[in-house]
Amino acid sequence: MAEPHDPVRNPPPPASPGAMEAILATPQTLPADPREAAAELIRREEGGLRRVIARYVHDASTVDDVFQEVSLKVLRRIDSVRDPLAIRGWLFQTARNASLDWLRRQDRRPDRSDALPDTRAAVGDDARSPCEQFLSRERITAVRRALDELPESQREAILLRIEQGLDHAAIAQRLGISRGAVEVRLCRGRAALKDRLEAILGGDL
Amino acid sequence: MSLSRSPDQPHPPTALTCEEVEGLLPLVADDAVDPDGDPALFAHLAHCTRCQDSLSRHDLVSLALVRRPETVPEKQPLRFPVRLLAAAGIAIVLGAAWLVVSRQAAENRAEPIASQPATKNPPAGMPAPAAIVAVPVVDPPRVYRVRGGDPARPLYLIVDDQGSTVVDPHGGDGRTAAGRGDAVPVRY
Repeated sequence: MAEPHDPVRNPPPPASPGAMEAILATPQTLPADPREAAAELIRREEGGLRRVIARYVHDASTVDDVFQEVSLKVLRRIDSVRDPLAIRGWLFQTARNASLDWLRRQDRRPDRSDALPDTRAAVGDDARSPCEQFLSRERITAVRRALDELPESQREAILLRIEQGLDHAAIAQRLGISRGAVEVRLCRGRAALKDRLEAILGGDL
Repeated sequence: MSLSRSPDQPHPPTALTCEEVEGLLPLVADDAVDPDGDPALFAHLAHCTRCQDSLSRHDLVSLALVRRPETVPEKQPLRFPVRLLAAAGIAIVLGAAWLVVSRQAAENRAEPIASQPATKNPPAGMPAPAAIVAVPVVDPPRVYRVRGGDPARPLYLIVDDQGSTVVDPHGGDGRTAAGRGDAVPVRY
């Protein structure tokens, strides 16, 4: 029986750079049928897509599941890509969004293994779910600490955006500032959060 | 070429540099840009593992802020054990009442009759109180058989609070014993 495919350790060999660039830059070289073109894209980009997914979910079987979701989305929405030069970026974004959606779904599940911290600690980190590997308690605590160190204006904008889900215009109205000012605060706040998270956790990221 | 690019591979000619992309990653994490709006940015992200890694940390921040911090224990409202407190209160009240009652009863018992003023004339129509006579507690006398002597006519030593007396049950006068060393206790 063949061993399960590990996309992180044994990625498929990449296509030659020149050929793929040419294929993606000239969509006429893809099959004329959109579904066949999408299937060809998925086949050629499988390794890269799996590596993107594996940044968020470290479990090989979960990577398989998310990759299937990505494949379905690509097959269904390939027609929405108007600029051929944007196909690869669109593929990347589709894989990233699918991974984040999977993490959010798992995080909302009521039967998370958080209820059994002692059992999990007894068997070590390997018992953590793929969601907990990416979104561990240590990381959440570090982010909260980093948030507390932000200037009030940036923290306020980030909490309104992320916790309450307000869009930029709503935040601008709430805070009585311009939309551009909101985006500046969000950009600086997010950058500072990421930098402080890396400073707090160091090599654990 | 796959989506991910190793760091030593060159960027596509129209691509942005990693430094330029780094400044735009907060916008990507905030979903403020999309591949159609900025294809060069996402083309870079599709290639560059370093920027993918950086973007995943921005995404981690977003997910962590949405997640409730479980490391902070929720404040539990104070819950008093009402039944236990009520039982304890009842027990305290009953105990205090018992103490008061028993103390009053003890005071009534211990109140000396002699302390009442004897010279005080009783109310008209009531008899005068009797004189109180102390009655000493008398230990029961102990009887010893005197050693030696005629076994047919044993002598006995009787010890009581009045003193010691040698008694001859078969007649004769009583004599005061010199000591108890010559007597052994009689079990009866």
